[in-house]
Amino acid sequence: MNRVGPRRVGPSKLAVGLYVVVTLAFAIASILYAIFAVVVVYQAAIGTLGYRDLALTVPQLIYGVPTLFVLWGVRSFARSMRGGDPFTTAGVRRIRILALVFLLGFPSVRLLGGILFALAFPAPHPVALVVRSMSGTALSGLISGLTLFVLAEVFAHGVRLREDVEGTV
Amino acid sequence: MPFEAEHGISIRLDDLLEQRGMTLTELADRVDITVVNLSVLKNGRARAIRFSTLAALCEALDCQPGDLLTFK
Repeated sequence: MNRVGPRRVGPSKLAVGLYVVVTLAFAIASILYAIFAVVVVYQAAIGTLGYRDLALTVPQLIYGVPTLFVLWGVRSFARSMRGGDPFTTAGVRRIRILALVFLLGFPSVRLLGGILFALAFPAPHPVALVVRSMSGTALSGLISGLTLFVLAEVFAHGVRLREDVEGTV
Repeated sequence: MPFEAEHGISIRLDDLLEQRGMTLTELADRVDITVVNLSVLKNGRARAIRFSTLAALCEALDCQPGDLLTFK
């Protein structure tokens, strides 16, 4: 007779592989952004970056914050999958936070970049310039954010089912 | 709040084990269920019981489901 009661299902090879890939991606992105930041600070210190260069460079640097945050969140999620236990309330919260980063974080940085660009490079219609510069990111962020919110609800349902199964003997 | 207070179902595993002169470990060996899971069932902390588990318990304890489960 098969053993009954709750049992833990091990992770797939793909889940383990994804964890390794995401961890590497996070490490590489962190190193690249760190080098980028050092170069920008150094150039600003020796005075080879003008305010226009800074207006273009600083938003790119700040863009690293949500990028690394998302990679870190995905890494944490991949780790919970590797551990064979992704259906947790912490996992659901993590997906919701990632959704908010896509919905608000990336478009905000793009908005900041657009404003700085409009200030550094005066144009006849600065508002149109700002809107144009962030519309693409806002749209893709909206799609990604909503998709993640839906996935979070799917996972929340998974958590409820899991709690139910855990009480089954 | 214990689970039996929510659904009103209680398990009479203690009584049946005593009547059969059997320990929880012996029953666990007979029905191939972990002692931990049997304890969960015995202490009323289970939310549900599979038919296969119920059938195995009934076979091992030589009883009917109604002897094992009561509703208050």
